Formats: sequence, C-alpha cells, structure tokens
Amino acid sequence: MTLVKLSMRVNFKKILKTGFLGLTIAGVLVPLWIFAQNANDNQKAKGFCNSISNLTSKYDQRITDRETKLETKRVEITNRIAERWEARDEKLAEKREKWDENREEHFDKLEEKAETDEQKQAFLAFKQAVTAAIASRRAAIDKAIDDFRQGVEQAKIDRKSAADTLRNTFRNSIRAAFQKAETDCDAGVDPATIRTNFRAEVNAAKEKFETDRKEMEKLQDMMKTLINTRKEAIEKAIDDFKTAMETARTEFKAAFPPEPVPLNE
Amino acid sequence: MTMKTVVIFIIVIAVLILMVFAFFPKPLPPPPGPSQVMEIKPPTATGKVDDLVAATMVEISDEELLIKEEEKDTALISLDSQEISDFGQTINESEF
Repeated sequence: MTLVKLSMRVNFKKILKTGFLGLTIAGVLVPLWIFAQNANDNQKAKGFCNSISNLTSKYDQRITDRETKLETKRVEITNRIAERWEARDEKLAEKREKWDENREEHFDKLEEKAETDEQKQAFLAFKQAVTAAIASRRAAIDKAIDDFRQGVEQAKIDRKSAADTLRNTFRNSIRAAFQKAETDCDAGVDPATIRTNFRAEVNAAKEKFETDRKEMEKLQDMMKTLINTRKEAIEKAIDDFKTAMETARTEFKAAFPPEPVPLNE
Repeated sequence: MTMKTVVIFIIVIAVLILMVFAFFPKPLPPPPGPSQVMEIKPPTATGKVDDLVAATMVEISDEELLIKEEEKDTALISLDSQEISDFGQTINESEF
C-alpha cells in the first residue's frame, strides 16, 4: 500500500514537471509566433503599396487565363452536344428505315390474303391508315425532340449569360478594390489600413460571387421542366398512335372472316 | 518469426494498403458520353394483321431506346461548372 502511494506521488511529480516545462516552452514560443506574424503582416502592409501595380497585372493575367479555359470548355460542350445530336439523328433515320422495310414485308404478306374487292379495299384503307398514323407519330416525336433541343440551346445561352454577368461583377469589384488601393497609396494613407480595406473588399467580392454562383446553378431546374415536357409530348404521340392503330385494325378485321382458332385436343 | 511479429507485420501491411487507398487520388469518372443504344430486331412478317400491329408497337420501343438518350444531354450543359467556379479563386487575400 505504501509502495503504491509512493509510486503515485512520483508519477504526479513527473506529470507536474512535464506540464510545467510544456507551459514554459509554450509561453515563450506563442508570443514569438504572434510577433513573427505581426512582423510579417507589417512587412506585407509596407510592401503592399510598392507591389500594387504588379499585383493588378498578375490578377488580370489570371482572369484572362480562366476566361480562355472557360471558353475552351464551352466550345467543347457545344461540340459534344452537336456530335450527339447528329449521331442520334442518323441512328433514328436508320431505325425508321429498318422498320419501314419490315412493315412493307408485313403489308405484302397481308395483301396476299385479300381476295375479294371488299377485302382489297379494306387492305388499302388499312395500309393508308397505318402509314398516316406512323407519319403523324414520327412528326410529333420529331417536334418534341426539336422543342427539347431548342430548350437545351436556350438553357445554354442563359447559363452563359448568367456566368458572364457573374464573372464581370466579380472582376469589376476586384478591379475597383485595386483602384481604390492605388488611389489610397498615392494619397499616403497608412499601408496597413489600405491592405485591411483591400482584403475586406476582396472577401466581400468572393462571398458575393459564391452566393450568385450557387443561384446560377439553380438554372438546372429548367432542365427538369424540359425533360418532363418532352416526355409528355412523346407519351401523347404514342397514345394517339395506339388509338389510330386500334381503329385501323378493327376496321380491317371487319372485312375479313375471323381466323379459325386452333383447337387443342 | 513469433506470432506477435506476424500480427504486427499484418497490421503494418493493412495500414499501408489503407493509406494507399486514402491518399492516392481516385480516378475521375469518365465524362458522360453517348452510350451504346440497344437494337431491337423487327419480327418476321406473318401475314396476320395482329402481328403487323404488334410490330409497330415494338418499333415504338426501339425508337424510345434512342430518344430517351437525349435526356442525358442536359448534364453536358453544366460541364463548365468548375471553370466558372475557378473565377472565384483568381484572387487569394493571403497573398496580400
């Protein structure tokens, strides 16, 4: 028991010693660090006025570089969309041709079964009705695609306009901050004050940019509306087509005797 | 080699593997591209009106496979998000 107490006392002393040593070191280092920071800040403040024109041109260069990158990306987006639309148009035309050929085969076989004048007449009417229904469906779908694409183009234009406004506002705010700093430097205002004000203006411009940018990204909601409108138009085209086909089938069947149902014995 | 050494060795290897996965940048997902659209083969003509009508319904499904692809184009519009966002990083107050 005595041994345990002794051991605890020794450990406690060790902890106290270590803690004291740590606090002493921190007590010396922290003020040194703060002093170094202040000295660095003071140096930066003094140098701020001397380097303001360099900083302005450095900033302008960065903006120009980013404008180039954005423009390159925009061209890439435009090209990719155009390529996709072109490829899809070609594919759709191929598919339609394939189905047209297949339908002609169906019509040929169906025509072979028309024996009486009434049946031949019914076949011609059926063929005409089917062909018209398909043309009508395709026209409606093509229109839905065109409307959708126009919407996509418009969204692209709106986004570009919003992004350009965003960038110009930001660029102008920063330029104004630089100009004010230059004017203050020339007027002999305390460099530390100029620097503090400049940093505050930069921060405010950055915050505004971020807020406006997030708002701009909400333009994406427009895409959902476009998708839904297109979907509804296509669904309507298909429903109308199905109704037309059903009517054509019923009228055609009326001219032909019902086909015998195979009996399972 | 003792059991303890083996266990330590396994732990070290596991930690190394975890570090590799945690610190190495993950490859970015490829940008959305035109996907391969499935093709539906038209049914053989039978001379039956019901089969002809059914074929036109299959035709709709075949077209729809391609038409639905168009919706993915909307994602392309915002591919410049990073470039736009970068404007806000053109200036860093810590430089001054």
